[in-house]
Amino acid sequence: MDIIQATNLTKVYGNTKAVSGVSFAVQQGQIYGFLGPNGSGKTTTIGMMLGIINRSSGDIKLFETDNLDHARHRIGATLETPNFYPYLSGLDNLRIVAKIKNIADARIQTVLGIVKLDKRQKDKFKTYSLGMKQRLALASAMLSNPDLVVLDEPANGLDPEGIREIREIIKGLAAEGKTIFLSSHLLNEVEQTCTHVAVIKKGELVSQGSIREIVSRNLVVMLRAKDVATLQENVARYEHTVAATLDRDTVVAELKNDDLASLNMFLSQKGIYLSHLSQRQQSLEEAFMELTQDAAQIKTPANANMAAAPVVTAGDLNTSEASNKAANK
Amino acid sequence: MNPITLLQIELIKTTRRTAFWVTAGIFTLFGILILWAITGATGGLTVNGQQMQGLSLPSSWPTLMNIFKSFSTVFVPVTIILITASEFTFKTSRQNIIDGLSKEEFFSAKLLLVLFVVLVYFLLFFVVGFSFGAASTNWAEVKDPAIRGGDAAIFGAYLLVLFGYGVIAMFFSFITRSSGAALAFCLLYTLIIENLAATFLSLNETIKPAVKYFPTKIFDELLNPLRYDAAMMTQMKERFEQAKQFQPDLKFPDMIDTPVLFAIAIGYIVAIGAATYLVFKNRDL
Repeated sequence: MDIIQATNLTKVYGNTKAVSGVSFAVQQGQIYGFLGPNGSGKTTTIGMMLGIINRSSGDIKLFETDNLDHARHRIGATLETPNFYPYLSGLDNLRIVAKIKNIADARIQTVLGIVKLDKRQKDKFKTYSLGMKQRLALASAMLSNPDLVVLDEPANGLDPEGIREIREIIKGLAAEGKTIFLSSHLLNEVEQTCTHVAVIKKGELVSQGSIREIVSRNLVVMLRAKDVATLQENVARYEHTVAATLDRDTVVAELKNDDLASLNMFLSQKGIYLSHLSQRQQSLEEAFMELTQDAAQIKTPANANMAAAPVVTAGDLNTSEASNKAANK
Repeated sequence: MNPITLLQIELIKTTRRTAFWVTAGIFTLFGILILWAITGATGGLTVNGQQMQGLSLPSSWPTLMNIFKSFSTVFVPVTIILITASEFTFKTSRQNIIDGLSKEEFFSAKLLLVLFVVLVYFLLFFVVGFSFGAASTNWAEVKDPAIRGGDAAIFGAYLLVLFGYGVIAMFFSFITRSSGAALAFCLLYTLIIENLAATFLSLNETIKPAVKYFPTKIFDELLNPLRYDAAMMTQMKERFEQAKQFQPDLKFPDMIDTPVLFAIAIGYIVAIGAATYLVFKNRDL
């Protein structure tokens, strides 16, 4: 069952297309990460999805209905910063949500306990720390035990401990089988939490799929040689190279295929002897950077007119994926 | 969602707001001070060399209403704006919709809030007015009860006018989404712009008759005490006839019939409410 089905969502402000033809589907039980740089159209897309921003065109179905007023009763959502009445206590703010959602007051204490705000429930919202505000927003989203939880930057501005707490709460929701739609800048969190992701850039969806699909599109290899600058220039010229960057004495390259022998052959033909060659899985952060930045920004300026170098043989080859995954963490 | 739940939600938001109680408190204080000045401390006000009559009930309800009108029509909009516009500042209007209210329900809740605020200010007017009126009344000489059946029209007009000003305030709150801007525009419109427009348009004899149909002119006219005090109206007409002997071309001002005024006022409230709803419905939150 498609919990969310967005088809060609478009939002135009004057002459500016904030969101252009965005389509995606979220299935029941998925934890769907929605990624994109600032100003890429994430919040506008979520706003259209929730029916608080009018669409210029396109369709949105939640729980297979386009009656969003009806569907919102099955959703718990927060958008951008936690939006509550600052002069009311956390408890009174949740009372308002409970009345809107027709939930018994007893449930308020349950969710306040889950987010560990039960002892501060009578304090005014404006006295809460940012972490407490985010936790209250999560409590509000969980209040009706919703089938779909939509969270827009739930860890924004939190310290590592706060991020960890929010992650645990989201994992708890996921364990209950909730469908979660999560927008976040914290790619490590998304990678650890989400099953699927979509990446939006300048209002257009540039990629979507399972985390595995997204991160396995390119192979990341690390290479070392005596003359690392020459190595970088030549790796950048290799036909299957997506990006080649220099990290101290190591060239980190993203390749479209996993034919390392071919790369090794190519470099040896240029007279470059590798002292180290290892591969690892691309991280979500790397995939995100690649998808959301222009190719020119990622790919190091290659010297396209370099003369061919003599044929050489590769040196030490190390393709231990596991060891490099560990190093990446 | 049923209206009672919507009202309960609005009551949680409103009754815990300090600004609501502060404005209501200042309003009460204003009422007490003004009536105290009229009835007690100064020995009664002197207008045009004549000592003003006391606030004897039940005949003084139109006068009391007229006195309170002058500041109720500021306090009610201010209160509505402080409560309503902040929903946009805090972005809680958006969150209320996300949480499950439809835009229609949110708008209906705000109309119920206006009604609630109007009833609170009416109650304050009634309590303060009745207290001073009762204290000024020589009950041994008065045969009528403190409130006559005919006073329903006075109270109805007062409630309707306050509701009208409340809806205007709601309109500016929804348009500007900012308390400061809404207050500025609302007071500017009701106190200055419409009066200025009326003044300029009155210079043109063709347009002049239309000026009295402006929204706040209609609301003000609805609270004209002459409409509800037959004795005062008779007295005015007698004075007018006397003046006419010296200036024969004088004409007693045309007065729109009270039921027509009620109908026009209701029409304005519906139109302003509908415009507010359409703005809210079509704008992004």
